[in-house]
Amino acid sequence: MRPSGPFAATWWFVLRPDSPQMLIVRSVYRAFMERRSAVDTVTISLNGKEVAGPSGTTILEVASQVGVHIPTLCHHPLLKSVGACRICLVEESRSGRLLASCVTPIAEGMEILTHSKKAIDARRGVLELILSDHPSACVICSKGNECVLRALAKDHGICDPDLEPIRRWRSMEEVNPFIVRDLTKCVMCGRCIRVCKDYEATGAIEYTDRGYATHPGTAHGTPLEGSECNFCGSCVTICPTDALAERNRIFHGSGKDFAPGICSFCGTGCRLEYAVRDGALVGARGTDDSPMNGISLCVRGHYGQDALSNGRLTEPLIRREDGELHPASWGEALDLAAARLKHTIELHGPETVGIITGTNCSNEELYLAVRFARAVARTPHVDSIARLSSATVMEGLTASYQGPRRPSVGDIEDAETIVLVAARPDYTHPVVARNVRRAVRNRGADLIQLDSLTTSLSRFARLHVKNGVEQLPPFLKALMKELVARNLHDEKFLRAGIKNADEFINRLKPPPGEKSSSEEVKQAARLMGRGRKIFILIGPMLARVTQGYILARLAADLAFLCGQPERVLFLGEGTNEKGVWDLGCAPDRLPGACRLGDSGMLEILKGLWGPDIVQRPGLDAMGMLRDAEKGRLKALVLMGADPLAVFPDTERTRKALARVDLIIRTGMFPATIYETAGIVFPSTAITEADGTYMNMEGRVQRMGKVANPPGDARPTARFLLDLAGLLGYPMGFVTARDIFDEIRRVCPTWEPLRWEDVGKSGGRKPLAPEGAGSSEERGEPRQRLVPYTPPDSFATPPAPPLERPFRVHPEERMLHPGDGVLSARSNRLTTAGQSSLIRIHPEDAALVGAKKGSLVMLRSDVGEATARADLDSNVPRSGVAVPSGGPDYILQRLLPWPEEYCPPCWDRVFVSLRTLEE
Amino acid sequence: MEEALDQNRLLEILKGFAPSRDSLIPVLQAVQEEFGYVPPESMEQVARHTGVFPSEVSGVITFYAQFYTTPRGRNVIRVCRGTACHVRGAKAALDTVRKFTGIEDGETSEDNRFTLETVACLGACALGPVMVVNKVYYGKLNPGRIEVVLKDLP
Ligand code: SF4
Ligand code: SF4
Ligand code: SF4
Ligand code: FES
Ligand code: FES
Repeated sequence: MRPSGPFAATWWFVLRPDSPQMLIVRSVYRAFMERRSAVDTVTISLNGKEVAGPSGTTILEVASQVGVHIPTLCHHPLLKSVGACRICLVEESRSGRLLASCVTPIAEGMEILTHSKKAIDARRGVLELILSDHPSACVICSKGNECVLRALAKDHGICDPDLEPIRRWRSMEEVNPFIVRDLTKCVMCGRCIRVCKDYEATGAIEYTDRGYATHPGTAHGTPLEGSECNFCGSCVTICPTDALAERNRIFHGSGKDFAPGICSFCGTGCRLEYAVRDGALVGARGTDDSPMNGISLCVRGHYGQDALSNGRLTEPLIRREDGELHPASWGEALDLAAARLKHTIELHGPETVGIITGTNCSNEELYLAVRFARAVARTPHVDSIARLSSATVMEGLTASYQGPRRPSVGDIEDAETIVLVAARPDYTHPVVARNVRRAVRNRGADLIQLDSLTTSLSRFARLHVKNGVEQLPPFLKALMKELVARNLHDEKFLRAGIKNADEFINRLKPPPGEKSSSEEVKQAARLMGRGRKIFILIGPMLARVTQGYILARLAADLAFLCGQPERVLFLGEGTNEKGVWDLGCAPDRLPGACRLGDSGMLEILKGLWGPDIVQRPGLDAMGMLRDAEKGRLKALVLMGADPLAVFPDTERTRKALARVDLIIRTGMFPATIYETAGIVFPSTAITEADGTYMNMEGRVQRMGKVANPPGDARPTARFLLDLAGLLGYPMGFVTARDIFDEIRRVCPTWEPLRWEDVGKSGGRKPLAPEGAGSSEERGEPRQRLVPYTPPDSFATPPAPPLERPFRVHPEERMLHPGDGVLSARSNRLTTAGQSSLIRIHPEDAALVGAKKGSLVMLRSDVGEATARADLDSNVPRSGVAVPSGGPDYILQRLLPWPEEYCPPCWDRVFVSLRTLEE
Repeated sequence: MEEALDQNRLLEILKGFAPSRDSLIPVLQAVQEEFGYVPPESMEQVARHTGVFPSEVSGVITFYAQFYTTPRGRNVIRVCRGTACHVRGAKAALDTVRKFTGIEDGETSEDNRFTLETVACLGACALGPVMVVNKVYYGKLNPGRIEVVLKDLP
């Protein structure tokens, strides 16, 4: 019975998904479903042969299992069949009936003929009807040979159906740069609707209108760009005709060859196929061999890959006497770099040299960077830009877990409760957001969103706690206390699995008489209660806030309390953000995720790198900048890193870098804001060289060369090896694989990986073998979990100063992930616009005299930036949502450098707003 | 654009229905009952309440002839264009209605007095040409009779 009428509210109190009653119902139901899995076998005759399958199998499925091909159109193996097109008709010979094989389950004694005259004629008839109102313009169709309809027509020998067409001309209204919808070519198979609703759980399109006018349409019939659509492109991938197609494909032709690879736009590391034509990259498409993403890609992976070939550096550049950069040969540039580096080291000592890598370098390059620093240049100052984008969270998680973790993106889908701790996967890692939506919509999971801003996932949230990051530590602590107070935690796991369990639990027991928690805390605790499968996502923003370390540890504590330590995932932004930490590209770390003091690892490294490697801790990236500012840093090697795009206070950073005598940079593109380097080497893109990358789960995946590098761009690994050779330290590596094999010798967790294997399905980082390798990696992981145990009170965040009353809410933008350096090169991603808008509450806008589209100036205590304003009543009052990265780097201009030895401080920035023009 | 949607009235309606996708059609019917049509601005909230995507609400509304997304006139005139009525002069009847009301098929007059629709058959073929005004049937139409009927409508 459906509760409605006056008692609906009461009913709903009992029937709402998180009520205690419903939790019981759910668990009983689950147990029932598990029991029910034993099924009967059904035997049918297929073209005269006996075939069998479990009951519920469709005719199409048993046929394909025995190699009988039945044509299909609306059916897709990844989607629920609906039997819309009738192309798959087969004959049941006893009854003479025609059955749609994709939806008809086998029944005992059925006699199916797949290729009888009757079946073939019926299928031809259906096809002729479909073709009768389909435009016959195959020659200029961009789906070309991929079109299923054309293939069916060819297979059935149909050229021009002799039927009077009823044309359905539909105009093409979209202006977005990604997808063209030409519904005149639509055959109403509904694949796009199902993929969008069930597979992506986005639900942007639905059957609209009725009868002959039916078409896949958006809510209110708006163009895609005005709908919920996030341009994942899955509907384009799955549309059998050219009704949905990639825009602007004609500009560069369609792919001739398809090569497997991984996407480099974020840390998910989605597997895809790169489309290549004559050695040039022309596109990308999803495949179905990936544990992370299936056939899904996000808008960046699908439509942003033009970035990899746009505006690239093609030859080395040297800053000559005139102060300008001039082209040079690799030989000349390398000689100069080596000579000047040598000179600097001899004159000022090796400790005046620093190395900063990007988070897009391959594992091999990162390993070489560490070796180059500690063994060749003999400086301890080696770090990466992950210092700003993940260090605090990584340190926190390392401290809590004391060893490797293996969270999996796939595990999100079977979670019953998902917690977003300032995580906005819908903007940073859209494919992960897909899993979140699928869990919520298709499997009834509950979503708890802890975020001051409202995002596209908010509509899926059962509970949205609009806390800013500064209020998160007390909230998480209150939540843990509530779990303990209501006995909803997993005491057994804690006792068996973590250190100091007693102290941990006791600290969380509320003292008698303490006032009870807020409604939000209670509801969250109920949703996470004992036995429920959880998944906690930590957003990249947490790594950029003062309390990032504490928050990461509290998130881990929460997972410990629920007895599910592996179900915590940090959403790393860089392609190889995790690899940076695993390979020890940090001034206090060594390869193998080891601390610098790990004597076992030092011994291994001395054996390979030479006895007198530098063992001191060095400066981190911010420390190097401080040294640069003081004139103490004399040379800086930037590997794929562009400090001006990532470091706070762009102006101060630029001035500091200007004081460094020698800056050597490798990179794919000209500098983002301003070129600081004196010698620039053009590097290859991820698609142009061999290398492995570790995604945010810890999965090592190999990328092979699929496209030709532009001009004389070379891998950064090659650059480092050549430079080391010129400095008198030949390393003897020839291929990326040689370096990979050395990493395997060094890092115990890498040892079981094989170069061949990590190319195919994506190698999984296995557990360390017992007793092997570094001290951190040894032993039973569960015994070593270390809870943080929150303090009695947390630092109270500062109040905004009078003259700068607006709090900055950094906001990631889907089209410009991470530092935004790569996406800025994509024509499609940049023309989609909107990325540099700041958002403010309409009432705040009225206060400062701004309207929608006004140009406003934001001024912090260190800098100022201008941007267009958008009004949004979901932005908290006295707050302004500012894009966190490129292409305009508004936030970077406003952020101060952190205090020495302090984490970044994106949560402590206040600005004034002034309207410049309406 | 119409005047802004009265959120309180909408919330009041939603309260009466369980937040489940089964409620979708009853909710839409109730919304239409209250506002006289389904205001497009209400769709987002209806979707949230029933746990479906806004596009699904849109799909349901455009599928069923009973739902309207624009305000309707006080008097809904439906003129038959079926075969039986056609041979008995439905076209002339429709022309008379169009002239009198000043609106075309599918439109609503500016003063909200009339909405004009045509249908394929009203199931009263023997009386053709036929029209239905606010659920009342009028058969054997001629221009004079039509004007008499329409003139008296509020
Ligand atoms: S691009 Fe993705 S979100 Fe947009 S309509 Fe297609 S499947 Fe749906
Ligand atoms: S647009 Fe393509 S996938 Fe969608 S219904 Fe039409 S033909 Fe099928
Ligand atoms: S989610 Fe990340 S890795 Fe996957 S396609 Fe999008 S940008 Fe690429
Ligand atoms: S493939 Fe079976 S009905 Fe379309
Ligand atoms: S044709 Fe007009 S009522 Fe049937």
